[in-house]
Amino acid sequence: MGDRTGRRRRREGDVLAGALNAAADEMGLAGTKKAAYIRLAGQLIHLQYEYGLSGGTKINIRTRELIAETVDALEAPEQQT
Amino acid sequence: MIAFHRFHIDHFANYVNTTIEFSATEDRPLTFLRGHNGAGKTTLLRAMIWTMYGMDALPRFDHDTHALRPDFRPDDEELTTTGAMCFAMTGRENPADDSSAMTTFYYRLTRTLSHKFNNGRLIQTEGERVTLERSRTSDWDDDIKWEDRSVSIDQLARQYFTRELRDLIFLDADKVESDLMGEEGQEDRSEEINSINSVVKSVLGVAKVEAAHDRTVTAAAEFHKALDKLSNKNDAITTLRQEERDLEASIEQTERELGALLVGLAETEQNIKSVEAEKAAFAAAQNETAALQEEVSEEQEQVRDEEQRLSGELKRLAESLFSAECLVGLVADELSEAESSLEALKQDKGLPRAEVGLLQRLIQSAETHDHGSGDPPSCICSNPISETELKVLRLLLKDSKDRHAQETALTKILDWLIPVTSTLQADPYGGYVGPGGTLSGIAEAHTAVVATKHSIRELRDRIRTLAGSYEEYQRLEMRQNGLENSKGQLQAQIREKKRRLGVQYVLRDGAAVRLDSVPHDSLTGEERGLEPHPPEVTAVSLITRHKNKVRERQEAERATGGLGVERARVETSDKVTELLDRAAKLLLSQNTPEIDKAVRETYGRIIGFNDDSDTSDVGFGVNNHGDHDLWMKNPRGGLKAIGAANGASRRALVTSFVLALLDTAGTIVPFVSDSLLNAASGEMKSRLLREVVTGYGQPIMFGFRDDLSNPQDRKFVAENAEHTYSISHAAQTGSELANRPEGKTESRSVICICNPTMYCHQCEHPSDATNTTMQRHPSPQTVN
Repeated sequence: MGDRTGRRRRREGDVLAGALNAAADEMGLAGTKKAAYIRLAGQLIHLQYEYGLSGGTKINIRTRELIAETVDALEAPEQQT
Repeated sequence: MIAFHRFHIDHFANYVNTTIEFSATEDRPLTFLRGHNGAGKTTLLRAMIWTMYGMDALPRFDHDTHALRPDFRPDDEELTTTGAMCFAMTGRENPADDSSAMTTFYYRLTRTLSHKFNNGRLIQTEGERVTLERSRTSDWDDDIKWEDRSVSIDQLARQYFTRELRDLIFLDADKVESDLMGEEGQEDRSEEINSINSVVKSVLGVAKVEAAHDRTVTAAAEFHKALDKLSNKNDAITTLRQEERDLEASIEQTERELGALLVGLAETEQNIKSVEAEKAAFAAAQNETAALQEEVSEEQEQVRDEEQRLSGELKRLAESLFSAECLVGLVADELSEAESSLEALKQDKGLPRAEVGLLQRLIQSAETHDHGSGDPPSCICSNPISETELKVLRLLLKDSKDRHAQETALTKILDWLIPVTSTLQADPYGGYVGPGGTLSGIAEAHTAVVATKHSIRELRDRIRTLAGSYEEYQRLEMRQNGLENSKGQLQAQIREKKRRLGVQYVLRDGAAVRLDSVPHDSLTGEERGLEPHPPEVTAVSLITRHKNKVRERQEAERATGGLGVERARVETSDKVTELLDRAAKLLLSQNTPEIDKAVRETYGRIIGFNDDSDTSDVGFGVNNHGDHDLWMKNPRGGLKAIGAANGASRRALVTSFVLALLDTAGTIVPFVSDSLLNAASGEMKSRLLREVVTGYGQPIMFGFRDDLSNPQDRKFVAENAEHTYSISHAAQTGSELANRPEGKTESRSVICICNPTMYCHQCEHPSDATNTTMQRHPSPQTVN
């Protein structure tokens, strides 16, 4: 059930990943930070699947948690050095 | 990616206990369900939709024709409608994260609803129940090991079955065409454009990115708020510190004041003692003064008597003195005369008459005044004239012719007179002895009187001094009273200070020292009796307030320890917000050309477009209003209204758009199309069939028998479909299918697993027997 016609077929998630990557490039993000921000954005988008678009308190809390976790992850290597 | 595997429905409209399998293999992905008008194709589609999405996803009808109603059942009969969809899902846990693992799970989603109908109105007798079971195996026929029922249906639905995507998965071609293209000839397409934009955003994931963006905006606002709060807290800490310092200064000042008060109290007490001592001294002095006054009075009395006596004596002495002075003058004169006489005698001139007279008076004076009776001549001489000398004097006077004797007598007289004269001149009273005593005695008495008077003056002065001191005494008394009042005030102030301080203080080295900081051994007995911490005032004491302030400040400081972290969170949330915003815009801007290209290519394949074709060009892009929309251009390049497109073009365009959109987004889901082919005809129908079957994930097509009138199409379907079905209405078949025990009326639909490209004796309508376009099926079977 894939590409039976030989036409290009994107993998699921390619579109989103491409857009996030391009957006990160536009913002001048690179390296670890770029990866961290793209990962965070992906997680935040995925929250919409987990909690729904209408969301609620839980998704807001989880959003803040994910941002906080990213901050910790970004700061951890700097603290080690 | 999601693929349907099996669907079971029971007591849904005209379906009873029906199960169908879906083709899910790579080489034969097509599932084709064929049926006449009214056979139940759309009802089966709705049964699938109801199972997946519930009642809200079903179209609204008049209650008499409720989509769910098993109309072969009578009113008030309780039934339980059950639908179960078995499907597989393969994907990454996080679609945006390439590093997350690919997994496949198999699910069974079951929905049941107990109900009955009354006058055609659906009455639920129990709530709708939905269960979702998951397994790692796809052996649906075996006793599958379902596990982990905690998977959220909503979560799956959100991921794959959004409303927009649902409409595309379960493509009701007529409905989608109407929703996205509008009616033929319709000019205002604003609603359709909204639908297109909504669908595009949903399928591309823009809606979720925008939702995530909105969440991060909210989160960023929260972080900003937290940062502001912390910043404010930081300011508050400064304020708290200042308040602490103020309180400390207040305590210090109060302690100083208390120390000063205690010192003042001690001084006051000392002053009171001094005043009391002075008062005692003044009292003693008063007694002494009284005694002195009495003594002075007595002495004054004596002095007055003595003065009186001495006054008379002095009067007499003065008189005597006057006489003596007169005598002295006289004696001096006589001495002068005697010297003259002596000189005359030396010159033999004999005594002048004056000298004789003088001698006579001297003798007379000596004779008339008794020696010791106080007569001046004898009393004034320190060496009084003896009787012998008087005789000599008398002889001289008698025998005045003996000059030598006279001269001797005169010399002797002179020797006597000269010291007498000197004595008289030096101390007129020296040799005087009067009736009151001697002059020396008088002088002594006088001196005593003077001394007494002096003493009396001194006493009077002292009395005056003492009187003045009594005023001082009174002043001291007043001062003592003032000091006592001051002491009382000081003690009250000290009590207040101690109350404010909340602890007891004692005086050490002129400063207030906390009682509990002083070694017990060095406390006085009175100090030991003090309550160390008066409990009734501790709670409101400055120290308690200070402690509270310190605690508050420390808590705030702990909280502001995360100030840097909050700043980082704000920065991160701002950045990810921007990233999501840009990504949402890029999703549209980057994929619009992709969709446009895919729409054109797909449309071209369906229509049979080539460079020589004189047909309209189509595409997808942003219109003048900034909205995404489909467009058509006539062969000359002019824009052509979508509403002007005819039926086949419209169906081809909307199908192209749906397939292009799903293709561009990489969304692999079942493509359940109802009535997709019936608007097309001829080669276009064939091309449309092939486009859907070969170009997309899991095509599940509902069609008419006439849709496969082309033998090539039938062959194509036979080659690409693992499962095919024929749907019949019992009333139409008249076959054994209609006589199943479950059926009470002829309103039910039945499904035959026959190959719809061949004639089926079981399910085909009798009239179909004459259809020469179909092969006869050798051994027809039914699935229910």
